[in-house]
Amino acid sequence: MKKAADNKQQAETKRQPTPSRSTREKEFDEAVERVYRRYGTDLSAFHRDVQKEMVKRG
Amino acid sequence: MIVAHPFYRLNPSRALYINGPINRDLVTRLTPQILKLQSTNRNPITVYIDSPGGHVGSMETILRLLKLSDQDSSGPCHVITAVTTRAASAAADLLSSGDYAIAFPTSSILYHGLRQQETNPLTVETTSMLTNVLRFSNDIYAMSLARKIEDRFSFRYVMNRDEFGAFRTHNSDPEMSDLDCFVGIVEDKLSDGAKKVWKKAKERHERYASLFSTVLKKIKRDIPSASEAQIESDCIKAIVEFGLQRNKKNQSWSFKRGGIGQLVDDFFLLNEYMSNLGSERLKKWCTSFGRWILPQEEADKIAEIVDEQKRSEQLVRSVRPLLQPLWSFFVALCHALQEGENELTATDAYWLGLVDEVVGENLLSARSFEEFKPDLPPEAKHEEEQTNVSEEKTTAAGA
Repeated sequence: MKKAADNKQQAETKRQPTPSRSTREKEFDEAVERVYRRYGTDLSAFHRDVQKEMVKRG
Repeated sequence: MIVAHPFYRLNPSRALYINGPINRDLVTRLTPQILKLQSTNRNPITVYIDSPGGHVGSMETILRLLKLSDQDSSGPCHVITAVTTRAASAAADLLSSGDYAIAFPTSSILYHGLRQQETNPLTVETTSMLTNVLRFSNDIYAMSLARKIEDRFSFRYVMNRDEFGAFRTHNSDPEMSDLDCFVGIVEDKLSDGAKKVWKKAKERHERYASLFSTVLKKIKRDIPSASEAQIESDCIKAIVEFGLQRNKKNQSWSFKRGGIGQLVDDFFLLNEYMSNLGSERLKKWCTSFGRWILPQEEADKIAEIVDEQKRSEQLVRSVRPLLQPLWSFFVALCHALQEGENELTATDAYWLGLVDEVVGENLLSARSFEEFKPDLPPEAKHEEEQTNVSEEKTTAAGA
């Protein structure tokens, strides 16, 4: 039973296509856009916030 | 909030280990492992590296295998490379070839140009041929390295831009160019070994600039209608004059005593510079990072252009003159990395754009952009919740 479930899960994973390079670039551009909207060109402020969150996560 | 993204995270349970020399035996050992990982699923593959380098052809075979599609024509698996202890020569090249490259903090990385082992005794003829082959190969590898690391390098520039003002003030030089600020800021962060390659890149870039401006003045020919050989002949004449001009006070200088060698170097240097002037990749830099480079007012003005193509063209027109010097410095750096022995620390590799991240170091990386989800201000949070609720209702109604 467990093996059948594993096989099903593996088949599902297999069906997940790798995002193409252009899709990845688009996703990254969107992430950059989010940061830009929030911080403008002040990347130091962004860096500080990232550090704070890293500390929380750690 | 930080949300882990698999494209940026080391995953030892789905990994390959490159230990020892890169050669045919390694390819034989890794091939079934790569194929198995790829056929199991299309998730990212981590490649851990601890290698003194080896055969470039074998390294390229491993890279090609890693980038294979499958019978469903899926895109290649995303590859995360990580140097644990040592990546030298071909292994360093493999490290930088990763879609995301990571260095462990105490690791060391060595870049150098191509080597050729000769079993037969050398003659003047074979030496001359070998010089040409090695020069040509190094040029190819330098530009191949440039393609691999350009996003990382341009990202370093963008993220340091807001420090340029303070750097000018600190150096009491309000007229200092953006490129000089960037070069100075990065130089301060490099180890002594890396400072040497940085210096070589600076010298190469300065020589590009002075050669280019001298030669451009001398070429009177209509470039579009002239043949390649005619333009080359004009360039050679201009370089001869450039050499004479530069050394007019040096009585011991002559073409016979080293000047001819310099002439040949300058000829190839000029070619290298000119062939990269109109690069498509520079255009991509302009569209990706333009808004971070331009003054806010100008960026806003361009953002108002409704037609996407016209907006992009205007962005390239405005940003290209600002990024051109950085681009030619970057090309000079890629060539400098192919000269001599360049021993680097993990942090050096980060600042030179050879890796994206150093484990445990507080350095901004591309990962931060995708994993960091800023907390929304309360009113925006409420708005987003409302949107989610109405979207859920629409989905439920549709079902």
